[in-house]
Amino acid sequence: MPPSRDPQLLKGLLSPLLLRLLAERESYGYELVQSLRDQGLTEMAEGTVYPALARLEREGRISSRLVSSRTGPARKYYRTTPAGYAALAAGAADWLALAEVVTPALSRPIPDRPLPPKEEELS
Amino acid sequence: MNRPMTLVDRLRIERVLWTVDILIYDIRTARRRTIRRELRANLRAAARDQGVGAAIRQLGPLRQLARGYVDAQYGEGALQPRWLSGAWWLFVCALVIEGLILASFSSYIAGVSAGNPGANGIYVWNQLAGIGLGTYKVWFVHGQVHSFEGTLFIGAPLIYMAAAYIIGGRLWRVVTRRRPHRSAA
Repeated sequence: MPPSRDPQLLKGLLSPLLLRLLAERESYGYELVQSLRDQGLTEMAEGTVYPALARLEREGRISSRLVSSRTGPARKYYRTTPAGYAALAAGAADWLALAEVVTPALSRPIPDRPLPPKEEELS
Repeated sequence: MNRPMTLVDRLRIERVLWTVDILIYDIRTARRRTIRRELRANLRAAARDQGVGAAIRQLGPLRQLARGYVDAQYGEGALQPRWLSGAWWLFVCALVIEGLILASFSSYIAGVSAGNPGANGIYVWNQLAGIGLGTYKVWFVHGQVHSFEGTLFIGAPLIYMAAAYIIGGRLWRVVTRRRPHRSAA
């Protein structure tokens, strides 16, 4: 069973992830959800991804066009815009910088019990 | 997997779209149409892949989805006017005014008849004139209403209904809300 993750944490990362996927290939909503799930984000709900796409489009970070489909109604395909590439670069840099700080802190072995306050050690 | 879609599957998807459409009524009609069209295409793609039940389930709570769309359109937490809610309160206000007039007038007639079973002459109903709802002259003949004439005021009820629409619809948000960005959709 895949580990369950904090939805808020995922929500913060969703924009750079979507921009990254769309920088690689034009895609539509459901296909993007599938791509995220294939990458291990199995708990990613469509209900989170679709509004995020709408927000990115409103912000001008992605653009869209309708492409007719042989199996159903026309699909709205998105791609990353120049503003999206800039946001992706900034988001990726922020995340990597944060991970560089947080990973060592959270990777240290967890002690069984906390040490006493420093004041008690001195007395 | 490419599962065939039945009429029932399509109707289930349309029901979801209808519900979402109701929940995002704060968004303008043209934009809502775009959202519906995109959601329909995604739901059908998901339904062909894993069945319509799973496709709908994986959409998550529809209220959350709708909130996401509204936030995406106007900015997170932006307060929106509620046009439908305003219309609902206008309707309720009109019903209350109507009910109040009917109840007051009929109880006045009943009161006169009960107090004076042989009443003759003109009686004036003006119990609601103080709140601007009208006044009537009622002709009684032998304790029975023969005819009546008067005026139901229009100005005050219109003011009450406008107030109900403004308060119920939170229309001051039209002025205070953030403007949505232009979308390529």
